[in-house]
Amino acid sequence: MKITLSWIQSYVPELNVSAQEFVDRMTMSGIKVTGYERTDRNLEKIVIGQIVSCEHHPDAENLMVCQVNTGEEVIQCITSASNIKAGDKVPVALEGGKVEMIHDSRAKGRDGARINKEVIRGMESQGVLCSVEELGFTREQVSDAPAYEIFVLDEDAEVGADAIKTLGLSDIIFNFEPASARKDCYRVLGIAREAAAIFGHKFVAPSVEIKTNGEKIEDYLTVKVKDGVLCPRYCARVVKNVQLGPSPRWMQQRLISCGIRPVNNLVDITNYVMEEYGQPILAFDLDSLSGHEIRLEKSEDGNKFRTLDGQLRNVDSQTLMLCDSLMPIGIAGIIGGASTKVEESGRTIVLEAACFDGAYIRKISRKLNLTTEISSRFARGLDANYAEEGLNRACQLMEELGCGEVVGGMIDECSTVVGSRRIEFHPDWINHHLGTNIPEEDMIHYLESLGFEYDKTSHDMITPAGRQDILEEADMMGEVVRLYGYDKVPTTIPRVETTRGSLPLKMQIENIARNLAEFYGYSQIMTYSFESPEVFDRLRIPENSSLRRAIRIQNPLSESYSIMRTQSVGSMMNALSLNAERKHRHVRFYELANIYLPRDLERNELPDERMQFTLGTYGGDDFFTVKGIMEEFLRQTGLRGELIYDPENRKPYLHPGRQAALVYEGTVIGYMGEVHPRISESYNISDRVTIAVIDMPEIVLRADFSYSYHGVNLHAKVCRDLSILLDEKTRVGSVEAVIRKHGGNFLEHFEMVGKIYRGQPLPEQTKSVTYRLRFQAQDHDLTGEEVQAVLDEIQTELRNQGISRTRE
Amino acid sequence: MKKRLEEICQEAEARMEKAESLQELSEIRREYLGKKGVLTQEMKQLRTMDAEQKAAFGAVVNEAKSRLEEGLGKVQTAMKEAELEKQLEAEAFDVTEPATKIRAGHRHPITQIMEEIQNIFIGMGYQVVEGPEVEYDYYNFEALNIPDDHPLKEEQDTLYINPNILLRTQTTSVEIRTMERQRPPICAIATGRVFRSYEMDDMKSPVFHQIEGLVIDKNITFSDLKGTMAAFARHMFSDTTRVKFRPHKFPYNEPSAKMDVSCFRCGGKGCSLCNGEGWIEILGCGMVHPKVLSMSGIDPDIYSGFGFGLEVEKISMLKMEIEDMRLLYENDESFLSQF
Repeated sequence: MKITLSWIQSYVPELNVSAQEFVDRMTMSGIKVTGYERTDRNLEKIVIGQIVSCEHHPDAENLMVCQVNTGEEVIQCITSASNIKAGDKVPVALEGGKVEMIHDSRAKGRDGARINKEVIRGMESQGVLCSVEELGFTREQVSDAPAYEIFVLDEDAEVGADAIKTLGLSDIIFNFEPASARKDCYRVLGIAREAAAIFGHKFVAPSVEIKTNGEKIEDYLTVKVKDGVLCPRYCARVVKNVQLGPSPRWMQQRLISCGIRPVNNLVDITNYVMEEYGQPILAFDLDSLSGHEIRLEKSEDGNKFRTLDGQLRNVDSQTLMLCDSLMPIGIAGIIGGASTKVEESGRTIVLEAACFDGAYIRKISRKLNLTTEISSRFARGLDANYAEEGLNRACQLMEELGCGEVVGGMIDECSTVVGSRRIEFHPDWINHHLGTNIPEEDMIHYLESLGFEYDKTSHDMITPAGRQDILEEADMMGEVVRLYGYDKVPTTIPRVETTRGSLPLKMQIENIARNLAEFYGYSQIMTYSFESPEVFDRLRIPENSSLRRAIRIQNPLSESYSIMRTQSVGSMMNALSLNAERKHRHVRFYELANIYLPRDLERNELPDERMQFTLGTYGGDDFFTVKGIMEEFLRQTGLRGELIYDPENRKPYLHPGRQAALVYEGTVIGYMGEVHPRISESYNISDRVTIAVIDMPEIVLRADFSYSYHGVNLHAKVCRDLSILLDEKTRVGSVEAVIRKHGGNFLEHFEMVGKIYRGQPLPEQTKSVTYRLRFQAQDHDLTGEEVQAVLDEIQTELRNQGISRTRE
Repeated sequence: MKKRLEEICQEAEARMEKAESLQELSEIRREYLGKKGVLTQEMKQLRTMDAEQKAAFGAVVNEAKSRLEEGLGKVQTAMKEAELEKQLEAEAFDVTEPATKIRAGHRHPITQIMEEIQNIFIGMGYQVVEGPEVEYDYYNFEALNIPDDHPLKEEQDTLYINPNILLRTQTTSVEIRTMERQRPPICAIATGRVFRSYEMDDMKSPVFHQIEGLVIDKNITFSDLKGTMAAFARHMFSDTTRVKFRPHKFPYNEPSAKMDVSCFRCGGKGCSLCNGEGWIEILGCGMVHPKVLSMSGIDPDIYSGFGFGLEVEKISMLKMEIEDMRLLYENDESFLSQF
C-alpha cells in the first residue's frame, strides 16, 4: 500500500522526519514499511523564471531564444516551444540540474536527464524551459497544460523560487505492509493515526460537514437490504446535477502516488475516499435503476451476469446480487455491471457505501475467480463505521469540489455497528508479563495516543471504534509495548522449574536409521507427501488393493498432487528415476517419511500416519547387501528375536522371485525386493533396482535398548563345519531354521562360509552349502563328543525333514 | 693350541664376512659348530687330557665357540635386516593409485538444520514433540485464536481433506496438543512437515518444515522470550550475532514479534544475502495469547508463556546459500552429496 508523506502530514501537521527515520520507527513500532521512493529523485535545480524577452533564433525559424530572469541572474535559453511570450513565468532547469526526461529524447530512463550548457546553431543555451513531461507530471495531472510545450505557471508564482517545491513535486512515497489483523491500517487515516502516536504528535482527522440541498433522499431512492449477516451495513446518499470534469491537481497527485490513474472528479473522489477511509464507494446513475430502487438478494443457481469488465459470469444461489426492481446491477462487494455507469454531466447519482462479511467475500471471490480492488478490501472484513464516514466524506468532497449537489439524508440499512469496548486495565499485570517497569502514566499516554480513552474512576480503558483487534487486556499490552519499544524490553532467561531436554523414542530410532543408512552410503531424500493417483497403475497395484484407498485432498494444487501417499515406493522410484535420467550411475537413497492410511474419514477420524524407512538403490547394492543393512538396523534397535524372510510377499511392483516380507516374531515389519524389471523400465531405470521398506511404528513398539553384561567366557570354543547338499529348490533358510532350533545351548554362533556351490561333481539341480558352527559352554570346556552329539542331531533332523540330500 | 683355535676363529670370521646368504651362514655354522664341525672335533681332544688341561682347554674352546656364535648371530641379524629391507623395497606401491571408494551417505540439508536447532533446544532443556500432519481444523486454526472469518485462514492457502480435516499449515498445532496433554512447566519444541497450496518455485514449496517452540510456566515474561531467542541465535549463527525484534500481529501471540538476526555472512554491513539490509528475518514469536492458553485448559491467571516458530527450509537456504528451493525436493544425487 503506497501513501505519500505529504498526505500523512495533512493529518499529522507536526510530523517532520527524514524518510529513513520514518521507515525505521514505523517498522519498529509495528507498522511495517518495506521501502520508499522520492517523487523528485530526478528533479534538481529547477527554479521559477520569468521570460524577459523572446525572439526567433536568427538561424532557425522554429527555435526561440529567450532571456530568462531566474531571480539571481538573467540567462539565455533556447527552446523549440512556441507557446511562450515575454512576461510568462515558467519552470527553468538550470545548468547542472536534472529533469525527468527531455522531450526530444536526448535522454530518457529511470535516472532522468542532466542539464548541460549547450550551443545550438551558434547560440548558447544555459538552461531548459520545462514542459510538464520534463517535470514528470502525467498528462492527466495537468490536463490544461499543453503537451510538450512549456508549462506556463500562474501569474502570482514567485520568481527565483524552487519550482519543485512550489509545484508540490517534492514528496516521498512509502510502501506499507501492515499485519492483516490491523484492518484499520489499510487506509491513509489509519496510518496517519499510527504515525501520530509513534512520533508523539497530534492527529488531526478531517472535519466532515456536508451542505445539503434540503431535499430528502427518501423521495429519490428506496433500499431494501435484508441480510444483516452477510451485509452488516448498507449506506446510500444521492447527489444531484453532477458535473463531470477533472479533479483538482492535489487530489490527482495523491492518487497517482498511490498508483491510481485519475479519471474524472467523480471517479477520483470515490477512489480518494477509498484510500483515505479504506471504504469502497460505488456510484450509480439513479435513472438507470428501474423503480429507483436497490435491493440486495441472493441469486439463483445457473444465472449469468455481465460484469463491468464485459465478461459473462456464472452466479449461484450463494451469491448476493445488487438489484434494482427488475434485475441485477452488480455482484455485491465484488464488481458492478455496465448498465449503471455514470457517463455524463447533469445526472442524479446514488453513492453507495456498504460493508460485507469478509469470509463471504473471500468465498465468492474465489468461486468467481475474480479479485477486484473493492473485493480485496471487503475481503479483509471492514469496520461498519467506515461506510457512513466514507460516504459522508465523499459527499463533502463532491459538494466542495463543485461536482454535484447533495440531497439531504442518508439511507442506512441494517446499521450493525460494533462500537467501543471497555477493558480492565492493570499496569502491574502488563509489566509483570512483559518483564518491564513502564510507568502507568506512560502506558496511559501510549494508549490515548492510539485513540483509547482512560476512565479515571473505574481505571478501565475504552477502545477506539475501529480497533476490532483489541478484545482484552493482552491485546492492549501488545499496543503498550510496541509504542514503548521492543528494544527497551530487557533480555532475560526463563527461570522455569528444571525440565529435561529429550528426544522421543520414535525420533531416536529414526536417528539410528539415518546414521546406519548413511554409514552404508545411502543419502537422504525428501519428497512430497502427496502424489498422483496414477502411481497405482504405474506400480501395477490391483484395482481391489487397499493401497488404492487413499485420502484425497479437496483442493489439490493439481491432480498430480491430489492424494496422500499410501506407500513410499512411488516417491523413491521418482527420485531414482530422475537420477537415472541424469546419468548418475551408482545411487543409494533412503527416506524417512510418513504414509497416510485412511481410517474412518466420514466420522472425522484422522488417518494412520506411519513413518516408513525406505531404502532404494540401483548400480549400488544388491538384494543381499540391503538385506544385511536391514538386519543390522534390527540389531541396533534391539530386535533380537526370530526374523523370517517370507518369499510369499506378493508385491506386484517387485520381482516375483526376488522379494520377501520381513516377518519378525510373526508380524510383518517390512519388505524388500528387486523392483519388477517392467516397472523400473517404466521409470527409465535400466539397472536393477533394490528397495527395502521398514514400517517404523512396528520397530518403535519392539525396540529394546537394554543391555546386560554376561561376563567374558574364556572356555574353549569349538568350531565345526557342516556341509549340506540341497535340492536347488530347497531354501537355505530352512537349513538355518533347523540349526537354530536344534543347536542347543552350546551353539554360540553360526554362519555360512564360502559361497553356495553348484556344478561338478554335484548332481544336476542341487547345491552345496557349508555352515560353520561355533560352540561354547558357559561352565566347562566342551568335549568333542558333546559337540558331535549336537551336529548329529542337526544332521538327522535335516535328513528327516527332507532338507538335505545324502551324497551318493 | 690356543693359537690354533685363534686361527680357526679368524678363518671362520673371514668366511662369515664374505657370506652372502643365510644359507651360506648356516653352512659355516655347521662346519665349525655342528656335530662334525671343526670346534666340535677339537673338543674331542678333551678325552685325552688330564683334569687340569681339560679345564683350561675346555674354557678356551668354549670361548671360541661363543665367539663364533655371537659373530654368526650378528651377521645373521644384519643379513635378515638387509633382506627385509630388500623385500620392503620390492613391495613398495604407488600410493597415488586411487583409493578404494568408501562413501558414507549424506543427510539432507533440511534434516541437518533441523537437528542442529533441535540440539540447541534440547541443550536448553526442551523436549521434542510431534503431532499429526493431517490435522483437525480446530488445532490448526480455531484453538490458535484464528476463527473462520480470519483473513489469516485465507492467507495460509490451506489444503483441505474435508471441512474439519486439513493438512496442517503450521506446527503451532502441536503446541496446542502439547498444552492439552501436559501440565506446566512445559518446555517443548515441535518439528515437522507443514503444507500449503503453494505452487513450487524458487522460494516456495507446498511441503516444507517448521520448528515451533513453546515455554509455559508461572512468571514467564516477554523479556524471557527475547533472551531465549537471542541465545538461540547465538548458538545457531555465531557469538557475535545480534538480534532485532519487530512488532507483528499473530492472532495466537500478544505481543508478537518477528526476529531479525544480523546477517551471518556480512555481519550486518549489507551484502547480497541480506539484500543489503544487514538483517535477515528468521522467525516469528510472541507471548501465548491468554485466550489460547485457556482454550487449551491452562489458566492464564496463573501461567504465562511464549512461543516461536521458524521455517527450516528458509534457514537451510540462507545458511547453505541454496538459491532455489526446488533443489531441496528434487533429490539429485549431485546436489545431496554436497552436504
